[in-house]
Amino acid sequence: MSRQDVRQEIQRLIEEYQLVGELLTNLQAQHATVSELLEELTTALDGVRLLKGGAGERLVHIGAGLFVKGVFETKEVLTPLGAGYHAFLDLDNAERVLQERIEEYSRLKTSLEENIGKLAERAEQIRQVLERLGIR
Amino acid sequence: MAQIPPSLQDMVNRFNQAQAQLQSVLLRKQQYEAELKEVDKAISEIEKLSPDAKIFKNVGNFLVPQTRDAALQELKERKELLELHVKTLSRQETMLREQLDKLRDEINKELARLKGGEAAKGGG
Repeated sequence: MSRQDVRQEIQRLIEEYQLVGELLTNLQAQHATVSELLEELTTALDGVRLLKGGAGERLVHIGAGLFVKGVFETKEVLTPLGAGYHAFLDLDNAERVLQERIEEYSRLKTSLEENIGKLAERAEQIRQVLERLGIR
Repeated sequence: MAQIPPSLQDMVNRFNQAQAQLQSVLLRKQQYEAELKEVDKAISEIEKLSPDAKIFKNVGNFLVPQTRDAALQELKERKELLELHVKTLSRQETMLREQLDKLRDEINKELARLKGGEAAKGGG
């Protein structure tokens, strides 16, 4: 391999390393967003399940650690169906919709984690090769 | 380093341009497909509801009441439009991929020709 070939290969590896880094940053941002959404959906699901426990007094969080007493006799909740539409669904159906969405986002999260793992592995491989070639 | 002939430079420029176009087309197609999936989900949920169900549509910061039939009609129209967009973009994608394959072949042929010419010069 000529010196010029080595130089070109190093250049190619550096470019790939930068590209992999950008992709990783992008996927990690997506992962954070999906994790946040999952947390929100899980909280909502817990709320619906709590309401299914029947009517009665509940303590409701209104932010900053403040709670108020509330009496709930709800049979339906206004549920997002997607594409900007909402409908009043009974608690069982609201739970089903939330559960489906949680499953969907969980699959997405798993897939993102797999891709992040593969990219991180590739970045490490390139880093090691560049290090052996004396580039840090 | 030898100067790149203008004809080859032109091919490379066209290749890069087509590649950028393809990336843009794929991104738009992905966005429409995601929206289509969301619309499909909403349709399937609304179809499960009774005809007199209380449905609301998001309009800015407001939730506006709407009948089940009106919601379904609006969503189905939106679905048709999205499918049309996806179809159009898929056609563009196919054309651009063919264009890229053709340009790649032309560039490789030109490079091989140039290498052959250099080898002949070196041997002479």
